[in-house]
Amino acid sequence: MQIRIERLTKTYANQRGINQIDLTLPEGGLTAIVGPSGCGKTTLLRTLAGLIKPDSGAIRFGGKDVTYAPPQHRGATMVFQNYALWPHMSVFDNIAYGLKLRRTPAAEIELRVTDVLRRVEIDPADVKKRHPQQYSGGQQQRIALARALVVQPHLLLMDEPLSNLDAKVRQRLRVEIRNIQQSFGITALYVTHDQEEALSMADYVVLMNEGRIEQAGTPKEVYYQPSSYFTAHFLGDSHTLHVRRGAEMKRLVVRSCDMTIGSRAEQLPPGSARDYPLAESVEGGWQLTGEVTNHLFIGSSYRHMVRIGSQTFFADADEAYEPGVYRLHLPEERAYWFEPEGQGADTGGRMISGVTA
Amino acid sequence: MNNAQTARAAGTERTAKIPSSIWKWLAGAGIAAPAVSIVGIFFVYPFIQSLTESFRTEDGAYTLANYGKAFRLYAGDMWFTLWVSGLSLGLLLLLSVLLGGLLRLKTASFVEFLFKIPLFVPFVVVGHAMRVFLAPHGTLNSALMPLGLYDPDQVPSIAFSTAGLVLALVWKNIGFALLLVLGAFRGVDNSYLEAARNQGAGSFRLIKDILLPMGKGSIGVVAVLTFSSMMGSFSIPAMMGSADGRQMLMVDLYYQIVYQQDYGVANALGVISYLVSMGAAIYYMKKVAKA
Repeated sequence: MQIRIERLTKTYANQRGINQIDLTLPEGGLTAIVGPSGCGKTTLLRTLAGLIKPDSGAIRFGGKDVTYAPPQHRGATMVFQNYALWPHMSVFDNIAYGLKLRRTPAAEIELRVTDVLRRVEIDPADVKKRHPQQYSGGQQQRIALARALVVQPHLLLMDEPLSNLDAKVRQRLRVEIRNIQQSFGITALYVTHDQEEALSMADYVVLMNEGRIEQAGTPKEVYYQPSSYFTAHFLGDSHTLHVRRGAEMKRLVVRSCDMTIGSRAEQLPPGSARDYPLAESVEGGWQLTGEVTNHLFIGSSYRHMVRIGSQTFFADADEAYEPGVYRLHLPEERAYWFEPEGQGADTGGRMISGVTA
Repeated sequence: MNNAQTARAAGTERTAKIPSSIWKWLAGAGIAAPAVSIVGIFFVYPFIQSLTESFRTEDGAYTLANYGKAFRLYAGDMWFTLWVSGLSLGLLLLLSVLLGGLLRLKTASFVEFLFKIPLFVPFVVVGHAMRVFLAPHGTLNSALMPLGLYDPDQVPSIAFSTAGLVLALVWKNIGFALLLVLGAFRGVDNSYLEAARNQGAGSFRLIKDILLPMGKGSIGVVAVLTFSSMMGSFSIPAMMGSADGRQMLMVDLYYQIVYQQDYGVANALGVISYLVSMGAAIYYMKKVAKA
């Protein structure tokens, strides 16, 4: 079912809400909303769930207007950050609760709960005796997912479902949640503050900032074609360099992972970082001058701390470089530049002509 | 260091260690002593005395006669006391859970304030207010009179009946019960309620399926404490007591002490009510606290 959100607005007295949100969730796809805390992503999610009433705007499920419908009459179920599984009920009762409220016959409840448990890979054998707290965090989140899916909702809402889990379980569950969502073919909205999670799981990424949608598109689009300084700076481990282009100042956003240390041969004489331009346009991209202060072995490669100007970048390389001043390379298609702050709207684009710092 | 020195060092160490632990123990005991002695002097001793007195006649012989007499005279009143306390408790729990649930789901500070008033009204005042309100020619009946529901010469009375007694006990205890129940309900994380609402539960379901089971520990505490306090209530039963002769146990106990001066029977009645209250507490520990 297609979910449309039209000019949805909710303002709070002392906290940021959402402002004129227009969004269509692709049917059967997973849309991730990502943004810094306080950007309004959770407000948007809870408005869709019916837990918050918007000030204005509309939410349409298919053709039906559900803007002010109570939570139980809109067919949007939610997975919570802390799972919110009721500790006094068995796992079976937790999952069956929504079905019982809908007066589903007991035999059918049994069948549907067993079916959904199999699909989220929880052993249905002893779920009537065991309580949620007897399961691991990852399992509990899968049980929560089963509870949300068993009532066959039109929309599945997930509010940072993995943020209470440790890194390893989180990695695994990303794939599992994605697989489950695809196997059910359900339209899903996934809220996270973790950009990596959003980029890796979603069909469609919505980047929010200060109650507005900053940019929306496929993960590749928002990552490689940032339309604003905010997007470019928010995604990836990004840093901003203020560079001069002729008479104008520009902001050049550089993502650490796009930057490479050329080779050992490009080490410059010691103490000479200031003698070279911070960033200059060269054939095929940019040449930056930075000082490698130290490096860490991170398994697959070496991560170097590189000081460029007053900022520290990470630059990964297959071999470890000694501390010293090096030339670094940034390919042209990975250089994002913007007007400086307070100079009208950001103009997205790539730096073309040469500048010096 | 030679052997003698080692032995001496070990010796001083040992003699130094033992007193320090004794000192620690004494210091601990010293801190606890005032509290323990207060409990001992003012609670344990009177209780033991009351217990022994209940088994003795006036000439000092040990016997079960006091209990025999207590049961012979007051078996009916014992059942009546249990019945009134039980009924009041049931009503109280029902009211405070429903009210607490609604207040948890929807904030209404004025209503909450209203129900906290009984906490600060003394028992005798409640008793008197209820007498005035519920008496045959009291406020309630006078207000209803114009409706012509009953014959003015034969007005029904809620005061001086079991209903009046129950009403007054519930009124007096609702503030305390609500305080604890609402506290427990407020301790239930919002996400549990939101998850249930999200699954389709309305207010009544939220109270019955989520708040009540998750707050049942505190509700158990309310139940045991108010049941014991109702069993032991005196001023309200004395002022609202039924006219047909059935009394609550504390009124009987007062009668035995003040008018009959039969301390043996009075002590026996005291021990019996204590055992019933303790029974409720044990039931609570086994059924509610464990789960």
